[in-house]
Amino acid sequence: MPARRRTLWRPAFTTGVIAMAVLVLIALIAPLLVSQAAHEFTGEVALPPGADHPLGTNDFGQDNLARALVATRLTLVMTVLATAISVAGGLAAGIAIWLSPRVVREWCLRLLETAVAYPTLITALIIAAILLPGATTAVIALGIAGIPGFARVTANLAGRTARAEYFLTARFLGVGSWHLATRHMIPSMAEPLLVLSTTIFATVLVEISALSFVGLGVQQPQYDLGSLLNDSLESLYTQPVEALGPAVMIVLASVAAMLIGDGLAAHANPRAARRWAPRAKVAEASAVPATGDTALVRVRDLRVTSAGGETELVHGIDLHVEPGEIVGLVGESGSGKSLTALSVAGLLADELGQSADELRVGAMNMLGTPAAADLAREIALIYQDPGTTFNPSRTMGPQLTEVLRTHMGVPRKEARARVAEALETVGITEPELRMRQHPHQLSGGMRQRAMIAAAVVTRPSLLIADEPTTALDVTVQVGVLRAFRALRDRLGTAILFISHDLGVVRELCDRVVVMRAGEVVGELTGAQLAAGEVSHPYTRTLLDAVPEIDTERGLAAGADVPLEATAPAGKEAR
Amino acid sequence: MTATVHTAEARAGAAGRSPADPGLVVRARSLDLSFGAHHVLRSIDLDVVRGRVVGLVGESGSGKSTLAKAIVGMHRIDGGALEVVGEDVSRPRRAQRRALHRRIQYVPQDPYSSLNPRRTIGQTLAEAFDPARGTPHSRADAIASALADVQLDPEAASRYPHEFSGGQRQRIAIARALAVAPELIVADEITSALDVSVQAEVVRLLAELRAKGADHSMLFITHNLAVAQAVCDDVVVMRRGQIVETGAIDRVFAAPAQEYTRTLLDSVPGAKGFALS
Repeated sequence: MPARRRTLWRPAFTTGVIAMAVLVLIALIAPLLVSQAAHEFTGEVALPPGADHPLGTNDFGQDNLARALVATRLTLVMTVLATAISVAGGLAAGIAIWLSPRVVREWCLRLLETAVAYPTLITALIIAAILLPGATTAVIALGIAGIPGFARVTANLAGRTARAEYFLTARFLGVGSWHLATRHMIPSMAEPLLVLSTTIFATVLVEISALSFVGLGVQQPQYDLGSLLNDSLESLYTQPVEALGPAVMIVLASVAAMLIGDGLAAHANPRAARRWAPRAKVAEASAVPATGDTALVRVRDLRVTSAGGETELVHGIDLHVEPGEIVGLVGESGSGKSLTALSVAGLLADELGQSADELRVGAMNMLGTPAAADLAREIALIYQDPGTTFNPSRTMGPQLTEVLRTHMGVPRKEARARVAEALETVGITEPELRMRQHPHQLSGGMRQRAMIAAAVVTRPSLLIADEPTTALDVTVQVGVLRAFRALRDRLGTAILFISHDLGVVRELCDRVVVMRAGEVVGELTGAQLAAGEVSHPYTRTLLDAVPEIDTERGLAAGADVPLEATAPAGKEAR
Repeated sequence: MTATVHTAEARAGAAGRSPADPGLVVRARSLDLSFGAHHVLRSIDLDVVRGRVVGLVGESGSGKSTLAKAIVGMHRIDGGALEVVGEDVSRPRRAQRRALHRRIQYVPQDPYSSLNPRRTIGQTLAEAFDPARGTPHSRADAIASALADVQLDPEAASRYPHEFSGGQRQRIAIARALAVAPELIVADEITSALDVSVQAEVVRLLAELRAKGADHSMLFITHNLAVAQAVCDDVVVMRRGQIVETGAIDRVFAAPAQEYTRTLLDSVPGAKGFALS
């Protein structure tokens, strides 16, 4: 928590708090100390600024500075009350919308959107014009006018909470609406709403002064900052200094509120305020393999640190991939397997730190900046989520032929023909049609296989696949795994296969590297893994944790199992 | 005809709680459900016998999650009849649903979003025991024993969700579901978001709870056939909104009657029929 507290008390926020504290102090004590100077009619009318009257006097001989200080109290009190009405009303409306049945909710949300479209000041002017002008009217008018805006944001935040699983579960436990709101909804949106409240405070302050300025707010003999501005209007050319006091107070109060709001917002989202410098690149883009090193990928003592460098995430790992080898990189979440793969691909996020004695793919130094064309030719990547790999607004064709066309100079027509052929080899039917389709028209398994096909045509020496089948159904997974195997068998492409699934890795990989908490804890061949010859305790645990399907058990115990519990024939879906 | 899940081994002891059909916690007849023009469930007939753990397996889009959500009342059915814990919920009213809430519990998939991050574990569990008051002090004993059931220390009650691992959170979610002593628990892919070692921990917990004599019925939705076999007595295989095959899980896996079930089983890496070339 100390790190977060530091982010709160930054200079801007501190300035805002101090300014607001001064204003509140003025509001509290000014009416007690200087009310005589502010209210007494004297003969010293319309004096210019001087020693006795720093901002001069008005047409009735009252001290301008004293009046501005005294008026601050009424303006602040009115602003606080109006803000409270907006916040309380908006909060209640926003939450009630999400606790009501769906039909009511939909209508209320549309109604709210319509209400938000009206500028608050105009709404407030209408309300103020209907009611008798006065301080109470101004507060009610602006309070009500501010409700829709606050309710809209509350409803958005409440909607997010209402869809959270903990909220659904609480509903299932029979928790009543009041407790759902107070226990689950309000705490989950307290921070953003607090920030929004300060913004509303600043807006209301200006608007309430505007109402008084046009004569619909505070009436004589009461006065606030807005009506003081109005008073100063008549003598603006002869005595401009009279406007200075109220103007400065209004600006000061709203700026203070804004600064506090900004500070709270930055505190609520510490990431937004974090600074980091991009990682420095090593100059050399090429690397010479050591004599006798036949490996395609050579990683020695790779370390990855978090943004800012406080935490080491990958603790000096060694890894190599021979040409044409399928290496599985296995581990649970947080093991550093994906960071390692990203480093090898040269795609580690810029805010993360990276160092290694050697980080080489072919003749490219991945610590430097190899030419884009080399990268595109040598390394192909397949990601976990086939839904986000392709640009949804473009058809498949141009995306699949991109590397061929832009980096390898193959004419468009020939590129399409070669991709079509490759699509067929990974088991995609009607390749020409598929290339004219958009990504969403293909299934997840088809998109992953299309990625493999794109790799087939560019003949990369290395394919890095990060959990490529995790998002897929098992029946689809088989096809994708077969395509990987075929790619290696036919073109000799080496594959770095990142996965958490030892079952999949056991079937596909020649060699398996097991990672845990940023370290390599074991290495074994696919044959060893398949035979269960695992010595390292963690690898053993991991392997034992993989649930095995047993299709024999039912046969052994089959005698006493009633067979009539089977679905009727013809029930099977096509 | 109805796809009765394993009538032969219905537990006699659990019977007699509902007048309609004491032996069944779920009884669906030609149940239909569609989202707009898209038919998600088509004429589903399903019986779940009291006291059994039934696996609902299938691939994405098979409708298994939708069926589970329809059973707990998160989706309204468009046709057919549905009885849950003996109550007809084909056309549920709000009050009726509310009354059923504590008899049916739903455990969601993601352990990271199923616990309110701003409430202690004690507060979360207290809410299950007493939704109106929900103060942990009055229920300290009950909370401690609920935590003990899922092998967590009583002091866990004063901690917040972020202090626990995914597996521990899933155990807390299970403890919360068990707290109300429901007749039916619907567990929707509760091991899918977990690492394998954590998944094994949850599977072990479910087995131990049964060994200790927990008498609730459970509908266990998963796409992982091996996990289903480790947890369930019976299986319901679904595909494209229809039930393909049902029966005792070991028997179905040993001798599937349907071609699709066979394909599904052979696709599991490590299965006998699995081959990459």
